[in-house]
Amino acid sequence: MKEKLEILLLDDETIVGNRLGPVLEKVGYDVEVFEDPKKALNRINEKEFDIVITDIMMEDVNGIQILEEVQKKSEKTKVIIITGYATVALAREAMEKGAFDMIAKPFRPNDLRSVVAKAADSLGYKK
Amino acid sequence: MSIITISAGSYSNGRQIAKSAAKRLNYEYVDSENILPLVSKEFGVSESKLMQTLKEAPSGVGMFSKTKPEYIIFIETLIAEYLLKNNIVYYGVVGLPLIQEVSHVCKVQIIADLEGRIKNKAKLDGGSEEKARKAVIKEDNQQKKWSEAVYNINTTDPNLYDLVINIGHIKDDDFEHALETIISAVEHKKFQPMTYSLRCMKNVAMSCRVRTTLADIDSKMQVKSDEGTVYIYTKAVKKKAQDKVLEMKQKVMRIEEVKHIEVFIDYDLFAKVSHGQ
Repeated sequence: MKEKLEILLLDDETIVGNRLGPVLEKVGYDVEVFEDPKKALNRINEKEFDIVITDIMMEDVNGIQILEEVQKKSEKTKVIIITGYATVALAREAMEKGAFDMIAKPFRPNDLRSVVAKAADSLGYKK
Repeated sequence: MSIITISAGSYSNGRQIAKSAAKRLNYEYVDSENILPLVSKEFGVSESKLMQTLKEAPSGVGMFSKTKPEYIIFIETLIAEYLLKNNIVYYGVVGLPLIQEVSHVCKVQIIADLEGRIKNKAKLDGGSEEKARKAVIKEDNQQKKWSEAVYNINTTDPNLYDLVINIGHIKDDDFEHALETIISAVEHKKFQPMTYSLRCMKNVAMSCRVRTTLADIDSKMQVKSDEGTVYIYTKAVKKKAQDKVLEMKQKVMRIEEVKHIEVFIDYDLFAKVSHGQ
């Protein structure tokens, strides 16, 4: 098992990555932050992350497509959806397609930290 | 790990299906009637009055007797708070519109053939089918009037549900089939709770608690909550608005986990005229 959990964080809003990236790094995770979903997809194809955290509403590629791509690449990777446009339909679609969890924006960094910890726990990592 | 709500017309064996589903899934069973003792204890309203509120259709659309809307709010609040626990099968329609936006609630409607329901009623009462027919039709009409008056919805509308099961003539194999359908549906990933849906359920429960707290001031107000922030939409005459807002805020701030309150006043035209403003 790797020493550090590897996380890809994707959100087209710069402020989200700037704020959440350091929060997760501080806990001890290796975090790669992306704003461009296409670049994030390329990285997902190169590397198997433990956790992918993705926004939903982005230009060109949306979060559900990211989820589907991750699922194709690795069933082990846990996908956490973060969105400011949460609805019942979206929540159910995300779960149906294999998301680990979904959080509605705005949320506190602690909320994300505890969801990531749950995902890490399900992967066998203990903090 | 989910919540199942089941509603059905009278004598459709809906309650029996709900109880069996709870047993098979090892979930807790709750209905709007067995929650009444808790409501009675907390709010000091007799169980018979609460029961009457659940059954009796208002005399005209929206024309309740003075205290009934409060009773509905009390019952809704305890049901919503009960549903925070998960792993529950809830039988009934009280509060159903409030949890439409909670994705881990699987909403099931059981429908059955009218003739089958009439036979069921006649068998239970030991009376004639003619008498049973009148009683079933009367109960259907009462239920329709009740849900229209309380929620402005028709509870037989399939759009309100995730799953509609027609158990036809209510035979044993129909019952088993309905049970299997519900159990396999709830095992579906889309009904699994997640951080977002649990937060939605918590917000619903908080809104209900606020409505309960303010029911003596305004039983028709709209309340929305999000993570401890409460938005209250009410009516008032301009002269009394400030006092009303202050009274509401003081009461609501006493609720645990409430952090911030916003009150939006719609200045009531009818009240303005009657107060000569």
